[in-house]
Amino acid sequence: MISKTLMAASTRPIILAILSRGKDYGYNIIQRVKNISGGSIEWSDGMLYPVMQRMELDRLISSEWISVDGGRPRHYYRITDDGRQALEAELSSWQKILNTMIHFSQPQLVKE
Amino acid sequence: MFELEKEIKEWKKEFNKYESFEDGLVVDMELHLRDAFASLLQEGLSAEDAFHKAVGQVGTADSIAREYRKNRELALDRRTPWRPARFMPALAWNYLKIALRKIKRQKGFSIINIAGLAVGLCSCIMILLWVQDEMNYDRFHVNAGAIHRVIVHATDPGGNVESFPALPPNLGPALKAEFPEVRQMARFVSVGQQIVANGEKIFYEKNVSLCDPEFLQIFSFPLRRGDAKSALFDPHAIVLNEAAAIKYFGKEDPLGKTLRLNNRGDYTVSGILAGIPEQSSISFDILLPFLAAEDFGFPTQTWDRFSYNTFVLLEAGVDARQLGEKIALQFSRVSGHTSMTLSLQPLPEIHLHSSHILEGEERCNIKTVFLFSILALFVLLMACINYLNLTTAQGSSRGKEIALRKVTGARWEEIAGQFLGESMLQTGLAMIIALLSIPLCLPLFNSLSGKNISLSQLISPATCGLLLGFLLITGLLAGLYPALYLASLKPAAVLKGNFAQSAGGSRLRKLLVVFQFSMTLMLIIGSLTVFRQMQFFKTRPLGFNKDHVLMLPLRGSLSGQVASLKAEILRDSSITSASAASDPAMMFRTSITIEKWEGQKPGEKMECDFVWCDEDYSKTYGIEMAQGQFFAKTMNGSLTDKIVINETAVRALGFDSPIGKRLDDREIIGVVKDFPAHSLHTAIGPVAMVYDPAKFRYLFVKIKPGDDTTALASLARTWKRVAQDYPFEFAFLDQQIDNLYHSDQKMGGVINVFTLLALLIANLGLLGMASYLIARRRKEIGMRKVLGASTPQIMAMLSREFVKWVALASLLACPLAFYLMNQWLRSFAYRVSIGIGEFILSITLTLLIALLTISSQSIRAARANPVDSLRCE
Repeated sequence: MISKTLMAASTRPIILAILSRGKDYGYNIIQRVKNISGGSIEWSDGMLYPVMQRMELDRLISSEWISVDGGRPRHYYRITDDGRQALEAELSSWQKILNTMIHFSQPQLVKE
Repeated sequence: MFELEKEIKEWKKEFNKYESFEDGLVVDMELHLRDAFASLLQEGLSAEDAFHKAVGQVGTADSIAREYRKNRELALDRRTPWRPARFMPALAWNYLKIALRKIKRQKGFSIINIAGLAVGLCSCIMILLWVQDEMNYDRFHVNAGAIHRVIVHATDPGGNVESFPALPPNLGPALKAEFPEVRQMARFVSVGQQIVANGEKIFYEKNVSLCDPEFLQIFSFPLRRGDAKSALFDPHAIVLNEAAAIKYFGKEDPLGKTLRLNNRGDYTVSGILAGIPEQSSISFDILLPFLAAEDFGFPTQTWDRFSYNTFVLLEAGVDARQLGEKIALQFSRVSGHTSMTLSLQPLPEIHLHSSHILEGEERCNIKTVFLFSILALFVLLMACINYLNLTTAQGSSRGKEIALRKVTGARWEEIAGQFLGESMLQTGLAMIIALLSIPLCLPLFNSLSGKNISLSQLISPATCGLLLGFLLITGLLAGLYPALYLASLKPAAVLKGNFAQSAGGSRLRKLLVVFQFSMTLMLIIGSLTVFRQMQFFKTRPLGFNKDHVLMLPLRGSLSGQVASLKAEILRDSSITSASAASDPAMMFRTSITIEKWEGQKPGEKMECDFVWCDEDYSKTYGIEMAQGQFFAKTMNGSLTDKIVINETAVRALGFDSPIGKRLDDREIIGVVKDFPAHSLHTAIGPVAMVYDPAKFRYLFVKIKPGDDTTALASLARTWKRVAQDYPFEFAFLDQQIDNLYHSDQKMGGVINVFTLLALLIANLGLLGMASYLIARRRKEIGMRKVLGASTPQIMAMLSREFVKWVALASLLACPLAFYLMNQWLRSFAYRVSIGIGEFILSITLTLLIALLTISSQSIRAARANPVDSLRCE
């Protein structure tokens, strides 16, 4: 079970990461996260949209209404350049945190 | 049967309630729900289950809305962009522009509103200045809070309590000696008019007073020369005010110079006062030391003669009430006056709270202060009512503006604020006009109130604060209801065109107009009653003739020269008679108790108003005899053993044939018809008249009608010849008697002014209402004319409504006015009865003025060509 704080902190990097692979819409983003994490990351669906709005206001992503194959129009989100930079920064931060955590978790060599 | 679209529609309603779901955001939610529903359906759930599960996945509208809201809140005031800013400078300019444009475009209404408010504010400011002036009495003394006046309350056998501020000379020193709470004490008494001379310069000084040396230390009367501590120690010291010093000594230094009083004693000037401030309840022109009291016939050592105002300065923190009780106990023990008790009256209360205390000074009454304040506020209230009525009545002309503002996002508060602002603007303009007109009104007000209020009083910070308060409260009072009323108009209704005046609003307006007219009517009835009562005083038969009688004061040795003075004066043919006496009629100052008479019941005594007079008093005054005869030089025996009484006294004594009977040691020789010994506030009581030349204080001279000037000139010549040591001074008896009703007349004058103002404002309001109501009925009037109505018929129709208002107002006002005026008249023993006449006259007057006001509008409407009113549209 992932803690609430960690969940909150990771939402934005994960969204950025997903969008870095190409534009996507809200429902699909949630489904992809659920599938990849094997159900261990499960967002409450409605809450995604205020987060997306915030990110859009921060100019990390942009959005547009697109009708694919004549189906109903969907609200597609796309990552911006600022968003990519932010994603890189997030990745390196997470990397450092993970490295540090891993380092201290490995068995220690005892000097004679 | 499960219907997806219907359920989604219901579900969306919940989201639409929240403002933070901006355009398109609910669509996001809906699409998400549809996607979730579709995939759950694919998983094999029933439509209903899939929908409920999908709803659960999306989450509640409330929590999502909160997140959205956080995104949009502005850093500055946590306001979201879809809410308008609390203050928009651009709009404020627009409000101002619209307000000024409305004032300009509706000149008639604006003039009525602003002029009315200006009149109301102006009268309030005047009364405020006057109230401040009255409230500030005696506050200039540094010790004002700690100075108290001793009041004695005497209970007579009938149980009536009389309070007066005169006390025996022994009380003061006893207080100082026995009560450590009393830091200082000073006795003070006015010895009235005295002759003061510096060589050839001889004047009557009206207000000479005696006091203890501490008087100048307790009080803060500004001493320009001399030392407050020692100025009055010497028994032959005298302290003058600056004006008097210049009068007697010119440019010389008066200190150390001597003045002669009453051609007898010499006094050395030991101090010069800078003049008594006007707001002083203690007044005097010249101060003499208490030690000189016996020279003026005042006792210095007794418990039995009540003459002196006694002031005490208390130590800090002393409870004056408790001390008063202690003093009262001690007083009745030491002095033996067991039916008397004492209390302490704080100095600042003397001016406004002494109506129950018997004393010679004319003071103001706190009730009068309240009455005038209330009258001024009423005038202002009536102006506010005009504003309220005219503004709400015109709601229709502003309706479209309000609706448009609301449609474009104005909130209720903003509309209310806008209209409140407009009323503040108009009140502000009225305030400016009021302030500008005060310099013009102040002289009138001063002459009416007998005050000397200056403009400089207006400039103090406290007054400015109060004026600002007036402005705000008036603006609120006038504008609050219109603002709330107009702000609550429904834009949809107004813009659709079916804007109807609410029945409640127009009922309120009618009620307020009726209230205005009730007030006006009451004031008119009041003015008429006061006027009639004053006329009654002037014209009521008094039992003597007050016209063409001169009063000349007899001073010093003059009372001994009465016979020769009279003989000299009577040589002039323009003078018909002359008489010397102690007091003029209606101004008796003495009363005696008759203890012994024939047929007296055990323990019975009779209080009598009392005068010492000579044999010509009845002739000079034209007092008629009922029985017997008046004093005459030709009578046998000493005249001082004889007494003349009035008819009331005869009745009180129970005599059938009074002539020859004895009262105490005197023989009754005559009975005069009743005449008043005091003003007509009190009833005529028993009067006794005794012959005693030693007590004469005035010479009364009856002159032939029409010969006033020649008689006066010859009198002055005779006076110079016979009494060269005494200045020639005189007063007309009828004027002195009129002065007895001075404060009543003053009140009458003020009420008249307020009545006129109220009438003016009420009719201005009526004018506005009439023009508005008639304008609304233009088409109806046109139709009626086309169908054959005549001009008088239409005028009658238009006036009927207003006549109803006045009738209702009369119904309300008459009983209240009747009650109030009866209360006022009760203070007079001789009074007019309130007749139906005043009421009929007042109502007719009000009705006539109202109809006249309306007719200015209705004639025009009734005579207008119906073509003009029916052609449009």
